Amino acid sequence: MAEKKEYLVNRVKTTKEVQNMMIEYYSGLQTARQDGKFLAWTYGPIPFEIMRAMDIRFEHLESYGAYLAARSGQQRLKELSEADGYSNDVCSYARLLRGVTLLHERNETNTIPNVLIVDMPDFLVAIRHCPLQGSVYDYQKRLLNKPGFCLDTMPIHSEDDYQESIRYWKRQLVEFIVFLEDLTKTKLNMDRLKEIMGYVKEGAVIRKRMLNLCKARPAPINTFDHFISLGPSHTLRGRKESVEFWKRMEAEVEERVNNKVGVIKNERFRLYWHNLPIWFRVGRLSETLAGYGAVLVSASYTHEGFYAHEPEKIDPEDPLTSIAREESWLSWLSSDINQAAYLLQKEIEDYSIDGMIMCSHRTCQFVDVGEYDLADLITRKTGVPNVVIDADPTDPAFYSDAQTETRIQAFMETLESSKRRSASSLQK
Amino acid sequence: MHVIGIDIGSLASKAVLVDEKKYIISYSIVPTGARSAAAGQDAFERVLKQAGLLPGDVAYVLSTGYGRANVSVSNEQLTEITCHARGAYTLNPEVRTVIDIGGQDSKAISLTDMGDVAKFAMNDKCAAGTGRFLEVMARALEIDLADMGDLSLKSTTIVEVSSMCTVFAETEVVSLIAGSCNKEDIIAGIHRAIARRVGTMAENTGIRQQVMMTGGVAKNIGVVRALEEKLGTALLVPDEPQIVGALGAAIFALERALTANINNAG
Repeated sequence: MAEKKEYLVNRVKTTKEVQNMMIEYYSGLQTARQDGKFLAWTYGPIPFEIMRAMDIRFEHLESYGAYLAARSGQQRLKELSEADGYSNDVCSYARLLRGVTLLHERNETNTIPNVLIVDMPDFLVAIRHCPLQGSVYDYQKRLLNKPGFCLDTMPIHSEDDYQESIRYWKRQLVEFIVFLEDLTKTKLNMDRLKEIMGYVKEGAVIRKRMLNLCKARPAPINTFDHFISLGPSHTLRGRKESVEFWKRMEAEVEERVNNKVGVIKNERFRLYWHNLPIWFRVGRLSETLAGYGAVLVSASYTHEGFYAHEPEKIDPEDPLTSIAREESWLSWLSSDINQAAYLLQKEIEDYSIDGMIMCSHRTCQFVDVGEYDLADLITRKTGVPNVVIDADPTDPAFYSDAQTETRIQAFMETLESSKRRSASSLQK
Repeated sequence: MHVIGIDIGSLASKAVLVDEKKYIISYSIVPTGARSAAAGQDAFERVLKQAGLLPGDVAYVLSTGYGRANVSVSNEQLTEITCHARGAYTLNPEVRTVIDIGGQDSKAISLTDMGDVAKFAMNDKCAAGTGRFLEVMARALEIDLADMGDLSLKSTTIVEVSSMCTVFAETEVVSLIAGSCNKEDIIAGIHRAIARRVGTMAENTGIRQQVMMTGGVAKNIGVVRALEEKLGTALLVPDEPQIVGALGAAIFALERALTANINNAG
């Protein structure tokens, strides 16, 4: 019998529930037609709450990419899109999406595991959050000849811009609802939307409390655990089951804090992760860092999005304003480096960060531009060092284990020598 | 007391044996080939033989480089970034920037005044700006890799090699040859292309004097000159730039061995 592998990271057990939750969610997409439901393909930070309230099922491009990458299911789809003329420099999420459509066009859905297949959509929804999301929407809409709705964003650099964006978003959301009502011939049940928004708020408040628990030493949970359990606050948010999940997870993490149980033994370094995760290397990187006594305690992706910003201000009685606030907040983060820098500095203080891992995603120029500037700015201001690693959210062709692990080890050696210097200067 | 540092690179494996005064007693450079473990052992045995020592005479062995985990005689592994920094600082304590171009990677390292790594940058998953890039270009030009440096100094006309993808640059070089450009000018163009790539990386970490170039490519005078021109500063090049990483590993090995001695005595 094979020996059981010993892991250095003591994963939060509740997170293992997410896998089945996601499989169930994707199964629901596969049976949408036979269940008599509409199926949408969506791109960007979509207001899922509205579609959930109208009982529409939705696939989300970026989540689907992560789902595929974490299960090594992306290869065939990449090959198909590249054979169709897509350069591998194009957004890897977009290539996967094109791969899925080709899989259906060629009747080759049996060439990848059934659990990874999503059905073709009845309509499309996108947000021009990143320029490519808008382009992918335009292209797919033409290609598939399906109805669609594309929500817009505006750059935000001030509180005034933010308030203007909220007003803009509310107007768009009303138009979006009209679009959905016309398409489905069903009226939005506002009471149902308010109920969903209540669950969104409850889940987000719990999740925020749990993120804050990572300020404890030793850290009770690794941010890698947060990466893999985003489903309940993303495509699965606004459901009672998701709130129950967050309650169970919080209880487990809280118990660890009370008993001073760390997610790794002998915590030496507390790290911050900037940018999207590398979905196909979450587990391995978590273990690699643990080997050096390093734990991720915070990340831009988990700590700033998914209603992590002021969740207590979500007003279930006013769902459109609550959604508009979240969407505008995401635009502010992505359009204003000063805002991103301010938040990062605050995270460094709040979570006692020793070092930052800046993940440069080669096919996602939207999140990649400004990465080096931000890293330099924060290191100059705080003295907290950073390392940049080259990767891609879903495409292993842009990633090298050996190079990344060498950079991480060198970074750990740098942190170690810096810690030694501080200790010796304190002794003097 | 004797200790050994071993640096297993993608093209060459290096070993350096030093005594307790940090003097280099012997060193070896062997091709890595397909089996890095065997190359490491070979480099290790050679330095011992040159010094007339046996494995039991060595207090500590520290390995570095991409194959660092595959050295059976190693007591500890550190990255080549940390080891190149320490090796360069040992050779010249005024060094604050190290530019290392090896077989399949290039890196720029900024040092603290104590010789520790302050910041570093490495090439991405691509052979552009590395020794392998030069090897491919030498093959396309049908010349010896070792002759590239001197030949490039005879260049009289500027020829641009714009592509940094190894495959596309090779195609570009072939078309330049077909276009009757002088080999010397083409080689100088290749060196400038490398200097642009690696120099930019060094600028990203910040250039502080003195700047030392290490790694096998530092033996190419043409690349050194092109980098000096790009960075606007003179580069220090050690007598044997290829062993600087192994030297750094040996210095760390010495520190570990001396600490162990003190602890044992205590």
